[in-house]
Amino acid sequence: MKNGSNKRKTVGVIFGGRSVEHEISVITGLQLIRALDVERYDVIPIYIAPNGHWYVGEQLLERSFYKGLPGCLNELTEVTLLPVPDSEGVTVIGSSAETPVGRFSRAEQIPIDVYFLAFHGEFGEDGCVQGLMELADAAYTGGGVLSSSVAMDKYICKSVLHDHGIPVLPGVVVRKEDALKDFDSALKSVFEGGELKDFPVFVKPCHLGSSIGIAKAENEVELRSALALVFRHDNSAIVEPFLSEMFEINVSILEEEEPVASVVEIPVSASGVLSYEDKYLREGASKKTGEESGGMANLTRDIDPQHLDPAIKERVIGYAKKAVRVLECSGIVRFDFMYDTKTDNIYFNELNPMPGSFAFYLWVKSHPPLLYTEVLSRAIERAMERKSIKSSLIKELEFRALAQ
Amino acid sequence: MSALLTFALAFTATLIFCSRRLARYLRVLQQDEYNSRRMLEWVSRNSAYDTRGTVVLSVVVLASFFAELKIVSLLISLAGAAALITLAKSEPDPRVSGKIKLNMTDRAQRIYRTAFFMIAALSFGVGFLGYWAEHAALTWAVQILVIQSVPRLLAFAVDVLKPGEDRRQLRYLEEAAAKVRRIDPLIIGITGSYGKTSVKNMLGELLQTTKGATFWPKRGVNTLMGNTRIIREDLKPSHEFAVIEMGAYRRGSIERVCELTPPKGAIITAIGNMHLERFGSRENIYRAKTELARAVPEDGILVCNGDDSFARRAAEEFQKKTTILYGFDRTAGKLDVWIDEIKVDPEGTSFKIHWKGKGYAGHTKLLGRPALSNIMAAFSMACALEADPQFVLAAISNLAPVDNRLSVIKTDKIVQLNDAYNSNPIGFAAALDVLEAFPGQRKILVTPGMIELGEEQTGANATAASRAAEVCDLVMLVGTTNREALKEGLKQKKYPDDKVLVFDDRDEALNQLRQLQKSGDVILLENDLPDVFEEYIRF
Repeated sequence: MKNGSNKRKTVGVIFGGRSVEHEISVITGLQLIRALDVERYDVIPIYIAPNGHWYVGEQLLERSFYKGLPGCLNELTEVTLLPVPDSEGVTVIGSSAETPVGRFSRAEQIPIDVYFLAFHGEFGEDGCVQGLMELADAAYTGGGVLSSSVAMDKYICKSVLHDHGIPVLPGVVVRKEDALKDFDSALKSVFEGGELKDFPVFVKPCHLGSSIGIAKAENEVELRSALALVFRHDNSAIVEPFLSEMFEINVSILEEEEPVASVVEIPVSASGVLSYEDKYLREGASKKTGEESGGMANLTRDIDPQHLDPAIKERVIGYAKKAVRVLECSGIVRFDFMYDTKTDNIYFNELNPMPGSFAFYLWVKSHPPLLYTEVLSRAIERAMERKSIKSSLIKELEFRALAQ
Repeated sequence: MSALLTFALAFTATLIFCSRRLARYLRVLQQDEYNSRRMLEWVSRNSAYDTRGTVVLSVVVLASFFAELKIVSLLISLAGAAALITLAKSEPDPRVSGKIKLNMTDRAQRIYRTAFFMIAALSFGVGFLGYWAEHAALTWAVQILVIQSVPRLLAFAVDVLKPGEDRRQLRYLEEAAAKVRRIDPLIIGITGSYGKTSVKNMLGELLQTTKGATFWPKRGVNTLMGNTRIIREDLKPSHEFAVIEMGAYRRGSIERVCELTPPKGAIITAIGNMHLERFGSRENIYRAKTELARAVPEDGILVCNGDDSFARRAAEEFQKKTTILYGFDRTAGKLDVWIDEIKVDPEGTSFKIHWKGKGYAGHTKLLGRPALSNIMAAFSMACALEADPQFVLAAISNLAPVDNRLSVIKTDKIVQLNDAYNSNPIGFAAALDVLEAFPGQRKILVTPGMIELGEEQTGANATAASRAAEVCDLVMLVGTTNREALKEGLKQKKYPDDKVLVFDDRDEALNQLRQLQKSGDVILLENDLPDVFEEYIRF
């Protein structure tokens, strides 16, 4: 029995953000708000507009509202989270705010018990907002600063997991800084170290969501173009070998005292033939939301595939649970693995600390099935638990050196 | 009592009618930089005076005149009001329809409100006369005067607001100039009869990837006020480079933009004879465009199109520490950068580009010689700024075609080459070359021809049509502006009449196209005139 667990909590759902995946975050955010347990939680939608400013307002709950951007921002009220420990909520810095829990005027605080973070990509998933949350001493869902920033850098993430016995594909990082100094040697460095043997390779941005700036390169000319494409969006590129015969396996993990795994899925392309390009070189939205959204998704998902060898499923789930521990993940995450059909090897590919739609489509098909509402409630409770654990650490400042 | 009612009906109906008409005239005004004189000239040239409203009102006036009973008169007024309002609602709203929509910016709104107020005042004033005279027919008749005055009142509103607008513009200009001085990016100016926007976008992309944070206005912004606004909104302290497009609208245009954004480097793509009627002579065009070359300091960078004789002359006249000539034709004179070994395929164009004596292989998704010319311009400037040529070429290979500039839209059945944004003789010819080279069953051209070529307009359109006759299986001519000239050109090559379709406006043509297009067609949409020039205006 936890303290105050019977009281209704106010959940501030933060979505939007300054990343290229802004739109998807809005969809995820609105979806989850609709699914939250209204008996236990009051919801305040907090929208981070593309300009980086934070807003509240009842209108945010309507999907049609976002069509009026950026002009419609004038109808909302600007707020901010102050990076001080006595921020019990967000502070209103615009005109008076009409929120679902009442009306607030400038400089007042809208009390919020816990924040549900629903971003994708830069500035949301990568540790920045988490840092602000820590300074504000707030309870929030999802991993902390370290976990988030490691997950967002594909190279560092793979290195850490590799050190803990989780198999990954070899990879080489090429930094834009080096390319600007000398493009040719940056190019040569790809094969110099020996980790990569030969073409074809797959080039991706080190950061950002995996939908933009990715390309396969079969020769040096294509490698140059691929690197230039990445450097349009990111400061470093990661180059990996291209697996010609493989399929992907994803699994979602709900982090609790004992991490819980969902069923696995195999994202399948429309033609039935699985390839990197079909999956990756499509708009990212279909991968994130996991449903046919606006006709963009030709991707269908084979959720809980019956024909898949259970041993493979076990290995994947095993690695995922281990990775959750190693990287200190929290909340609902999704791991993407690759299965090389030629060698029977499984490779960790990517971790999504805040997956699209929080992979609810996997949870509803799990054994036992977990409805979205349930999954979200558990993530919220976990967030409050972690805050409580952290608050139990004694951290007192004593003035000894300065007091003399 | 009935006189009051009549007055009220006349007043309200007229205002509703005028509100829609006012918006339509405002759109014309907006498309021509809020120049009231040119708007009125356009109205008189195209006889764009109101006919429908006047006709309806005339009927009402006559009927009222002959009506004997007050109740009949009232019913006539009611019917008249209803008719006028229905007419107003049935017309397209310029804010949402039409190729170039009316954009209700702050300035447009101010002008609209002022003009509307004047119209209301006039309508009220003259209508009052009719009310006071208790003469129903008069009450309606004077509203005809009001409706016919809309263009002139709009012009008057613009003139009345001008001092205030000018003050506001000046303040914005000062703010933007101060911001540019504070941030001090390395500025590259681009001008030329065509290719400005394309080169600007390309150079912006290339510098962003291969050099550092670059600022460039994304659309075809090239006026002093346009650049001012974008700089105020989007220029950031982190921007190291800025690429600014400068349009030469008249002598002094570019000079003024250079005061706002003093360039260290400049690109002149061409000094052709576009917009000849604005300048009067090609010499004047030369002087206007070379204001950019003049503004570049001695130790700056000047990049000019060696294939254009006037641009070449500018390079000689305004030598800088680094002067680069690019082009295809090495027989015309010395070239510092040139392209050869050009091969076209459905994925784009592969080529070899020569820089400082070395040849580099390259590929682009873009098609047509003008695209390659633009690539040379951007490449030259980027390399002159010490970007790595290999890196620049890698970035070039990723450049995506811009909408409406010979961009390709492939569906299962047909290929559409969309070259709608601004046409000139060279672009038209190049587009036809691409149309010819493209694999496909049937080649179709849809075009209204080219405009703003002054005396050369008829000849240029005929030449283009003549070439089209060699390439196309079907030609669809839009509008009447160039119809005769285009037909003449087709006749020169004895093009069969049954392969020529003629339309009054774009929408008609596109509808027909949708119906008759077949699998395997390659369609070229060449140029798209702004509404101002479409003569069939239903007023």
